[in-house]
Amino acid sequence: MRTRIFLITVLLAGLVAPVHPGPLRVASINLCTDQLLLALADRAQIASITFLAQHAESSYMADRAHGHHFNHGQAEELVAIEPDVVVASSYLSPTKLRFLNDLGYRIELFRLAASIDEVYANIEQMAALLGHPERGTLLIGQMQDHLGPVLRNHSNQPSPSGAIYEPNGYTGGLDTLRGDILHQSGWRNVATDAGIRGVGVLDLEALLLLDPDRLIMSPYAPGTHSLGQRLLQHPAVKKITTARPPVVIPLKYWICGGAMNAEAVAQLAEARNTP
Amino acid sequence: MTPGYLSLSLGVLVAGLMLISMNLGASSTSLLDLLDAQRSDAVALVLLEIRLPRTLIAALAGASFGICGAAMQGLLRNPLASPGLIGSSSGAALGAIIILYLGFGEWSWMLMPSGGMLGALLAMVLVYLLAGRDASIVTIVLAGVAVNSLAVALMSLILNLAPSPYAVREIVLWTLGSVSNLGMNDLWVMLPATVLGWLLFLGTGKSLELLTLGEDTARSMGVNLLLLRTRLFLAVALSIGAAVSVTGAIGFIGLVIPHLLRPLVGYRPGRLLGVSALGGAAMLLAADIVVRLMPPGPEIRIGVLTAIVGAPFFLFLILKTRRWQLY
Amino acid sequence: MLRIQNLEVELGGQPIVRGINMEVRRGEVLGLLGPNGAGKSTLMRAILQLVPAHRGSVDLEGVPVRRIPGEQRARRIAYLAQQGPVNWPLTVERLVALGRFPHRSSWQRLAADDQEIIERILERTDLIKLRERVVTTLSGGERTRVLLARALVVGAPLLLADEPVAALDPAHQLQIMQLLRDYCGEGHTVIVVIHDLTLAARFCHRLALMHEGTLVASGSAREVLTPENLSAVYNIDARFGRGNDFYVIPWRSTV
Repeated sequence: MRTRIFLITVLLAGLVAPVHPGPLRVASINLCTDQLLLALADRAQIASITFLAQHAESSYMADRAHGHHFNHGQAEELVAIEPDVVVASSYLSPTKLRFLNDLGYRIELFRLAASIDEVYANIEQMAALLGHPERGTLLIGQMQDHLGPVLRNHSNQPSPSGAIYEPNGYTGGLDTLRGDILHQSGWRNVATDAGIRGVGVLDLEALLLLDPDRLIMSPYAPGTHSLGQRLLQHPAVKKITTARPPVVIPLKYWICGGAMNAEAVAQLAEARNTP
Repeated sequence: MTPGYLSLSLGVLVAGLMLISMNLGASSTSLLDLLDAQRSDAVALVLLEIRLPRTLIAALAGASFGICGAAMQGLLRNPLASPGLIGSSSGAALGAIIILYLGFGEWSWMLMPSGGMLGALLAMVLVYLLAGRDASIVTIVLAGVAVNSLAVALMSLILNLAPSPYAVREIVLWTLGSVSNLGMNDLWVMLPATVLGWLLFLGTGKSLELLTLGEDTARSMGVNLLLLRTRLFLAVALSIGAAVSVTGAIGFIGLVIPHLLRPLVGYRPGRLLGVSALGGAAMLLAADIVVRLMPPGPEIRIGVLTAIVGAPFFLFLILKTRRWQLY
Repeated sequence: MLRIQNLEVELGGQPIVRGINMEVRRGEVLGLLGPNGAGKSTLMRAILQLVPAHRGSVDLEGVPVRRIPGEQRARRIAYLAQQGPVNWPLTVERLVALGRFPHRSSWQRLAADDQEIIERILERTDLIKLRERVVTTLSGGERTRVLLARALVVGAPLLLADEPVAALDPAHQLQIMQLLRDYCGEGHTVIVVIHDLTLAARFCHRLALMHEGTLVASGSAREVLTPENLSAVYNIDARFGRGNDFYVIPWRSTV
């Protein structure tokens, strides 16, 4: 509830605050830069966002994503809209980067946030680019206000152990945003215990032996089927989750860095208390 | 080597490999841990829910690949025939893919192996029709290549269009196979059709032996060729369909094993069936053991290993066949 | 023993056998002669039910062959195919033993009496020394002997042999024909398709001459192999032996 209130505050602030002469029209070719752009930019500044931004499952800002030009990450699509700046993640392929450079676009890369601190840095970077640094500061302040109590609440309690478990056994270990969110909300990440850095695979046997208190899942494309998704229904997984149902955190709260991460932290903190 | 002795040795080999397989995995859990009174529940889970199904499925699927290879080679009277060659493996994979990724698998557990079986059967019938009666092995191989290519193309298409975002990357699992992350539920799903298929193979040995003398002579000796063909096709479709719908298409077992064992059974097609099942189980178990001994990292697909052994073998077989003038 | 009535067989829409009426008596060797394409092999295959008959019937000891179940038929009629393949490199003994399969179900192994019969035939066909050899490594004559042995081992009352001596040298030709004749001595019947006129005359009790799907002549060698018949059917002039021995040597083509 508190989260929703402060987020609405942010959105309203964006609409009411004086409009600086930001001539920049920005095109985003990455879902996570979409989120930052939608949170911090004036509507007129958004030249294009990816089509993924409309998917409510993975895009927190889906409601605000309507009516914009949508791209599929292809450089050719940008030629028609002539943006001033293209924003993308630092994982942009060198080929694409060179192509965009050759086309004469200014490119701003954003690091894939591996912690909440890096989310703050990205917010500042985007706000500055858009000519609205005060919006960035405001947003970060709100997030910190929200996280403060959560951090204080659990410092005295023992941490339950959790395992982020995704189709094909993927998990988030040390140096991932999700891993950091898990940590901030007072959980112990078994993937870190297993020595996984970054995004990695938690083998089923390892999962069983690490014996996490809860599994943490963020269903993506529910109702669809694949071998990777079937793994989550393996009899062994079912056995360890019958008594301890998984904690479900909607993907949109933590797949990308942004204000919504606070919601993820809040939900995880709350889940700690339910046995 | 008397046939009994060969079967016994192979049986012991399979049992030994199964024991090793139970002791290998991503973690260092071993069977001996079962004896430890202070073990955690997780150990039993690992052994019974992960290692056991993997071992049993590898053995059953390997046996199916082996026996189907022997049967097809006996029927077509050519050592180059194998389930992969005649399209049954890729047909089965296609059938299973249609059921799983488009969501039909939810309706009943029987649908995926049935899809595999139907796919295998249709692919084989198509190859047979393309190759025509009295086709030489060359024609059959060409028809098989055509049907295999079509099946793989359709598989890729369906995976691309499937609703699940994970589907696209999974083509490799279906074309190169995998026995990892399988559960006991997969074993039970595979079992009925596998057993049914194997039962159909029983009793075809005599007819296959008589085919040594050619179709006309075999028919004059009481072999009902149409019945034999139908029965063998069904048996292959059932066992390969069931296996592939769980493990994906694993190649070369049906080619290599019957060929290796044939001299040991005096080149008798009938005797070859049973020992090829054992040999196939051994080969797949061994390959899976090697997969798990590989350095940690993305798991090597089991079909890669069988291909590394099988493809050079296949080339050698072609060269040898040319000398024998068997086609 | 075998009665063929008004048999007509079509292959690929073409009539190959046009109304054959024939009787084969028990204990005789019947030689089936005729030029290539006369329908001899087709007739043989029709008797075996390997090709369907368009019209007419074939009765074995009064019972239509069509109605005899395959398993039983296999025990009563043995077939030595023309250029029969050997698809796997079996040993001689193993291949010959295949002939006993019609007498055993899928589950039974070969019994002692089967072994006895196999031994006896191996001896008669002079294959004892070759019993462990792989069939695909044998010479043409030896191979034919092996395949014939396989057919003899069935012990069927009727044996159909399609050009068994076509590719053999003279010694082996005589050997094989003698074996067929001996088989008859045990009360069995043999129909053999053959091109060599003298061999046919010497080793067969009766001959049947086919031409373009019909039976032109049947009876003893002297009755059938007349200059007129040979000229009409084979388009050849032949020289004949004098005296008691009857032999026919194709001398000149009249085409």
